[in-house]
Amino acid sequence: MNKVFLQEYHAFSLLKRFNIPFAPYSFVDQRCKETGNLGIDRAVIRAPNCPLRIVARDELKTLVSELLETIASDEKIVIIPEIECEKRYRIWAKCTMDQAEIGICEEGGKEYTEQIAEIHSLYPFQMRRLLSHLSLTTDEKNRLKTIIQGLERAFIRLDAVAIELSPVGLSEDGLFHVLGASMYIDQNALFRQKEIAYFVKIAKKPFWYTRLEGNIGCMANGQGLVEATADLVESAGAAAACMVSIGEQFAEKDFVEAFRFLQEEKEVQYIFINLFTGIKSCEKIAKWIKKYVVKSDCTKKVVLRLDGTEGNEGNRLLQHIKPWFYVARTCKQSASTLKKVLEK
Amino acid sequence: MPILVDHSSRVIYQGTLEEEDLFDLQQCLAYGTKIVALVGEGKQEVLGLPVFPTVAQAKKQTNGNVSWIRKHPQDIADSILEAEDSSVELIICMGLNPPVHDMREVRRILKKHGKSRLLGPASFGAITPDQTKVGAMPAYIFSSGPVGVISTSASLAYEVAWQMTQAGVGIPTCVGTGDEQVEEIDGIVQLFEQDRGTEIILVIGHQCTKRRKPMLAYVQKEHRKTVHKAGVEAIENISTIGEQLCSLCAKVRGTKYS
Repeated sequence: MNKVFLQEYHAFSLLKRFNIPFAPYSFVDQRCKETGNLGIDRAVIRAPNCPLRIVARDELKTLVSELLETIASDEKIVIIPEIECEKRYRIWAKCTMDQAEIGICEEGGKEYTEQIAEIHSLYPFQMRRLLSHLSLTTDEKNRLKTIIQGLERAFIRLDAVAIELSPVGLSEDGLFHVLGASMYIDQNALFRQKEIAYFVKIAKKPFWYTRLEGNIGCMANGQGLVEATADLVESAGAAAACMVSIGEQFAEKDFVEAFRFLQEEKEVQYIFINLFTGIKSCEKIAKWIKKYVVKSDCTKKVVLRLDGTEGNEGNRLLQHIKPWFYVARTCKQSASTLKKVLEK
Repeated sequence: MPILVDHSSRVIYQGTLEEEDLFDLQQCLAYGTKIVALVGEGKQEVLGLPVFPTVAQAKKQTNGNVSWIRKHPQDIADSILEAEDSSVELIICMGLNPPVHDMREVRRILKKHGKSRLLGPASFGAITPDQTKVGAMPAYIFSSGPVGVISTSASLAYEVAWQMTQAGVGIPTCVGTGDEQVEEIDGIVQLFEQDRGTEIILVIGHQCTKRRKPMLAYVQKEHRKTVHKAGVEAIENISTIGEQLCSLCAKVRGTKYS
């Protein structure tokens, strides 16, 4: 599941529309450096990629100007008054491909969850059961119910895969104040979440990547195969530096970008590419590879294994195109070729 | 014996018709797959096959029982539900990356109605060697035999199938499932179990499948047939999996199992 993290200030702005009772927060960014007069003695500061800080009013300005130096021009710092709370809760909604749940727990206490059966919300009895675990008055339960309902609506409407409101403080007057929020959005749904897509930063690389500790860069067209390829490298007596999967339905630019990435990685001394194709014809892929490899001034040795649809034609095209470019047809052959290359 | 798809399967293609799609359709037709209709707009005939505006019409006219979906993320859920609405028995969804909430709703409806079985999204399809294939897999790498294959990974399944063929071990049917779909895999394991011709069930996952461990634990606990777990944890060297399965086949045939 591809998900994207939203910065807290984005989560605050989005969730506020769903009647989530946030404490009276304010944002500060590079353009608006005024901390404003919140009429508070102590404030909670939340800045992107920084731990949460609590400061007194007179230190606020100094800390904010320090933090502004560390954040990007389009990022914001959230300032919330520190509210004295009798109890603190954590409320969340999260889902996988086939189930979703709403959960709640008191700080340090047991977690209670209910599965969302229908797409929209919990059934009334589930809501009652969820709230029955908490020692709250009827009024307080009703207020908490409104927050959970808002969370449910936001969860569906914003295509979130996880939202957490934490902490949610209960003050002496029986009111709830949401003091923090985190949110993950389904990347696959960004086509219909235009507003979120606009401010979300997504990793631009068109491939899946994991760093390891060896010196051979492994690339394959699928996560399963690339993991097996890393094992193959191990069987040849070496270790993989990283695993790169370009997926089964890759395009020429995906392959070229992944190849270039491996060429530029410092830890990668050799490149091992293992492609077993179904949708793409090997002949087509071989033409892409040839085009790129012939132009390339790569100094790293490359072992390529190419098989699948139109495998013979593909392999024929790739014979002897560069002295540092080795081609093998089967898994076994590629492992022994790699071994020979490493011994040279 | 095949499961899910065989020579009697009548496939309705619900998908895009770009160059690569047409290539795959041609490959399937050449393999002998009975693609009976296409669903789309603006054309009446593609590759000599009739094009219908809806699945319901295609099913009524051609009696199709398998739907092959290959659409863009935003259209996947709707296409699956359209096929389900028309009571298509098997829906093979090769489309990638549908929104999670869409799929959650799709699964809920499918479970509630119980009319259709879904493979996917992100399935690579299904193939019964020498009979039919629904998907873009290279056909020559598969041969008939006793090892039922279920895989969440397309390229790894191809690798394994090719090595099996070279080692002389075949497959009754190779089924591609969507990622992280324990229930889906469980259902297919049950089908293989009921099949007398299947001697070994090979479940191929990969390390990144978060629910692989519970899936394997379930398969080992609940299913009586010899289950060999492939994947990087269980096999040390992918380059010899064909030979490993060959010796496993011999072992299974020489051993009594309940």
